[in-house]
Amino acid sequence: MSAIDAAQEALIREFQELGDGFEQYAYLIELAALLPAMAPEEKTDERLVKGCQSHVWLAMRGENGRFYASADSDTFIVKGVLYLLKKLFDGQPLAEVAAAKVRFLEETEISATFGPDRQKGLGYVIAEMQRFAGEQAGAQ
Amino acid sequence: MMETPAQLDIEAVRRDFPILSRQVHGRPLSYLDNGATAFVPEAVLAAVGEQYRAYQANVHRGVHYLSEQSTARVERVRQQVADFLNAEAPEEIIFTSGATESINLVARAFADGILKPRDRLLVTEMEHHSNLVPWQEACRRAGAALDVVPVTDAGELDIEELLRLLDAGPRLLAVTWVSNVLGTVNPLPQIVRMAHAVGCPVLIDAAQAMRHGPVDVRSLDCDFLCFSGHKMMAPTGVGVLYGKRRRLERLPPAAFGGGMIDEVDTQRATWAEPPFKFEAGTPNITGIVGLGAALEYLQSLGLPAVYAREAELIAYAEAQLQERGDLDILGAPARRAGAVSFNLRGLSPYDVAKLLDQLGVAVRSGHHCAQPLLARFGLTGAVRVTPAFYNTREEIDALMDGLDRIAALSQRSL
Repeated sequence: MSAIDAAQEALIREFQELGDGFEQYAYLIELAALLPAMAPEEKTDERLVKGCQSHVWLAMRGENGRFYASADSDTFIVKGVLYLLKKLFDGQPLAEVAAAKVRFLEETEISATFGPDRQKGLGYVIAEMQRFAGEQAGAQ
Repeated sequence: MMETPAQLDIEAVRRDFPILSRQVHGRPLSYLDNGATAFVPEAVLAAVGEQYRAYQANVHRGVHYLSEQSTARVERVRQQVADFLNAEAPEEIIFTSGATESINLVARAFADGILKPRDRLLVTEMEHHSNLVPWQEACRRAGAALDVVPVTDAGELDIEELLRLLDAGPRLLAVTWVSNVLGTVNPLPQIVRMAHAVGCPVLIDAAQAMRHGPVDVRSLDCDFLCFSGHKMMAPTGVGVLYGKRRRLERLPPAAFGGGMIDEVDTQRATWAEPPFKFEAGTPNITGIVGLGAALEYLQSLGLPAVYAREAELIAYAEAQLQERGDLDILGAPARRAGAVSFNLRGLSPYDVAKLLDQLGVAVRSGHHCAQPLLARFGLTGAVRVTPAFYNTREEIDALMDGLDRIAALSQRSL
């Protein structure tokens, strides 16, 4: 089992122990406070993933074969999810990030955060992270 | 003296809407998003089912029994809507897919045949995008200018500015009756009089107004008025455009095809008379039948009782929200109907609505298709509460309990 899979397993258990959806979202809001904020000048239009209800800014880099991201949002629930994604992926090998099966959203109550328009939602953010990791892994 | 309307038997009314007793996320539902779409009573579902089961045939085409029955049923609803709005004749009622299509129909006709370069058209800052963007496009296509009546801090139209902009001689004023975000009830008979005094026709977006008070197009003297069925207990996908007969006669059609023509040769066609001139293609027959059943249902409850109940619930919601010290209500209009919007300090509207949803409370968050209005208040979003007559004070209390839990959360973690 990869480090990402193991971390994901732990995460799913942690969320399931929290109980209902309200408590899981409440926890996400607590986690949001732990996500380092991006500086205003980093929140450029190129990094903006626009949604109807919430915006996400996403910056990524590959360093020594490993993946690093910084991200921010104007809503706390989404920030909480971004914190979890960062926790899963940051410092992990690029190839493993690209190949990971992200399932913690579906296996907790968080999946509803995905809007029907996945291109503009967190599904798009995850796809972007994995696309970037795949490209970098191929290049390095 | 005004008579006090008979009160609704809420328990009985709620039984007409079985969806009200369903659960979401394992909790009882408190549905407070009726400004987006209201629920459909059993009587409407039965009428829709009956139309599919027993009639279904197309209208104004066949001479066979079912087609004639379908036609009669649709035309009966046209008369019903005309009576409901106190229009002069059923020919003034055009069936559309909703308020948005109604406005687009008039806007396209204005762009194609009425607006000239350098003409002016007037809207307001509190319009839903559906009563703004079609006019932006019409003006762009015709080379006309779009003027916008500003909104005051209280969330009301700036009437002095409106008067000044009317003096510029706009070809039309398009204005909402009730703001879908603020709940502001605009002083419409007065606004129509002011516009008509300078020869400017008026289109009223009544989408948010239909459950809150009588809509009488003759006493309003408006030139056009539109609404959507799904905000007044009808199925989605059906709406109405009312137009004064002489306006409709002069308005070019905006969509072309079957049902809207008089004669056709290979090169050109002539148009049918209103309302059919504006109803190209097969109309939403079942939706129209459902709309008729919805009007009948509301009338069977007693419209004054429905209006009174809606007013009581929104006043209760507003009072409960005002008692809280942890949120900001958008605007403070002298007359409010149907909607109250707010932001809980420290959390985005999306977070609040998402957390409320987990508690079974359905509210809307976001820009409510009124970005210029939100921008006017320096915001990009808000949480909106829109009760309907079948809601209860207990459901509004569930919203307040939810806000208590969410507010406690933001203090715990932020």
